[in-house]
Amino acid sequence: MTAPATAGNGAVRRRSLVMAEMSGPTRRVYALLVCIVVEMSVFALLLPDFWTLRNLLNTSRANSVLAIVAVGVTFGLISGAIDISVGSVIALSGVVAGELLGLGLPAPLAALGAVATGVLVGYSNGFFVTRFRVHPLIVTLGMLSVARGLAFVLAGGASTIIDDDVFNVFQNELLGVPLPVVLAGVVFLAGHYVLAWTPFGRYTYAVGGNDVAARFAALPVDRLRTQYLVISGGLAGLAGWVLASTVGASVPGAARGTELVVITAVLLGGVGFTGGSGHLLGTFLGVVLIGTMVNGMALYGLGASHRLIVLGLVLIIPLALEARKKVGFG
Amino acid sequence: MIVVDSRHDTGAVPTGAQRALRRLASSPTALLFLTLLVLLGVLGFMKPTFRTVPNLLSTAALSSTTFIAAAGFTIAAVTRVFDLSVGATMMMSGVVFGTLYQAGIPLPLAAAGAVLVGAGIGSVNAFLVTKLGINSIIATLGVLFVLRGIGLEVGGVRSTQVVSDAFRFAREDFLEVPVPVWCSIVVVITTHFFLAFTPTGQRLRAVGGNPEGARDVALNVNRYRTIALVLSAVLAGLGGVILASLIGAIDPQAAIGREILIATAAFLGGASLAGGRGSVVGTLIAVFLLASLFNAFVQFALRPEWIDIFSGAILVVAVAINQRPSGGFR
Repeated sequence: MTAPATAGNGAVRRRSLVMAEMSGPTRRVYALLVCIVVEMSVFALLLPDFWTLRNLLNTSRANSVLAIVAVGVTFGLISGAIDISVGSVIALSGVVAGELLGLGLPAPLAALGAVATGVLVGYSNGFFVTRFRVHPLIVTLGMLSVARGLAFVLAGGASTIIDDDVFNVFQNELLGVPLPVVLAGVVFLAGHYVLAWTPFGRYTYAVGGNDVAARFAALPVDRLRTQYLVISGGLAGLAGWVLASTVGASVPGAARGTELVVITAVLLGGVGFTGGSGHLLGTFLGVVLIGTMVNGMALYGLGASHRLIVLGLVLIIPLALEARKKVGFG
Repeated sequence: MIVVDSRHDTGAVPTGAQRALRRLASSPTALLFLTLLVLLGVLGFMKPTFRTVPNLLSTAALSSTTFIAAAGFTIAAVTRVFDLSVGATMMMSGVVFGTLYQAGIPLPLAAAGAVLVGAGIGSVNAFLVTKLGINSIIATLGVLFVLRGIGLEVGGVRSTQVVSDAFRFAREDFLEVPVPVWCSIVVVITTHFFLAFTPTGQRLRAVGGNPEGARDVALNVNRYRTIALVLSAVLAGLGGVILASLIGAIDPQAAIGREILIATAAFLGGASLAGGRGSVVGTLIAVFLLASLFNAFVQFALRPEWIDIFSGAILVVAVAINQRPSGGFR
């Protein structure tokens, strides 16, 4: 969750911004690592098929969409804007790409169209958040419905097979690693670089931690907020292409409920719900933990019901363990 | 829309009409009611079948379960706790209601048991929020997952018919008006009275509007949050009982995604993520507005996907309008 307030003994334990923001989540990182090791050992004991290269690669491929979206959601959430429209955006951008291909456009343009759709949705989210001061949760909740509806309207209610080798590039592998996994890795590294080492990335903490102070520091808060939401939308659009490409179809009903899994993973990774804290290493571990858990449970023969229960508990338990009573937004 | 900003006042004495407009613009409920009247007028003009009394009554009856749960959501939102588990709670109490009734327990007792289960879920939510200090949105989201998982586990995806006229009491009419509509009327009167005229109701508003201030005047903030969350779940439980009776079956998939509709109605009705605001009457009008809109979509034979698009857009636009110039970002 949020980095512990150092206000009480601030003079003694003054830390740099990086340290202040790392101190909370670092403990989280160790805890997550322990959880992942325990989880993988349990699965390895129970399931002979789990610890095979093939299964691990399959798990990674299945979770690469989740991972790509999680990077964007982390940017949004650290800047104080939760984006729950991402699941619908994945579907909408996949459908847009499918329609563009149907119009006879070349595959790269269709892929670009998918990303552009996400960027556009992210921009409209940012527009309503910054111009009309509507809470991001409400804006993206509305966008969740709008984008899903648009996906169905555009697709005419049905899925379309995409039969284009260039567009379906993500069905291939690079040196034995599925391409979606490679892309997810690249997105994570790039995201981490931006978030941790560039001013643009560092401003997420300023905007999300205390937007009034950020304004006094002459940051263009509204523009930054919009840009972080654009990143979130754009990466969801990219994930839409990846999903449509791996499945080989544009599916208007795709990725329903993905937003909840993504947010569970991101919060599990130590990004605070109210913004200003967290980092992508935590998000990565959160995605790994949840991804392998879902995969292991499926291999063990546990169905959707158990997955839902475990997901709910995974969302609550880490926060319950911290048992930190906060004043305010309860 | 008409949002009067005092900064643009020129100092001229406003005419009576201007004053009336200002009062109207400053009351979201009145604005909403006007919108509803205009909508009903337009729809009734375009489609004579729409303005028949049976059609309006059936719209009201079908949306009553949503309203009853939304009344609870509104009470919680006023207290600045947000209960996303309402839809799943409705399902759960409906399942319990049907199961108890089929086990031979008399109808009133079965209904009471179901509402009690609602109260139990509300207590769990309250425990997570007040004792463990978890943000209410996340806590109830986790509970939503868990409840849906349990529902899927015990009930599967199929619904079981309950062949009994007594069980389907909600399909009956009383004085020419459907029973669910009577239930809605009772709920709106009691909850509005509770929120507006009882000391507890006013303290809920105080706690929601300014938790620190409420603490300073020695109000037990967590106690009122508990009251709000339990009430929310109890009303969702009541809504679930009526829903099960309307469906005439034990349906473990009932009310999926209903929390989004409920939240939309509450925010449309004037509730705010900042707490302290919201009215059950506003929520009632909003529920009926949305229901009429959906009814119109059916009558005009539009693709059902347009409902998603419209309800999402309405949510964002309505909240944008409701925002006061002084309203902050959160």
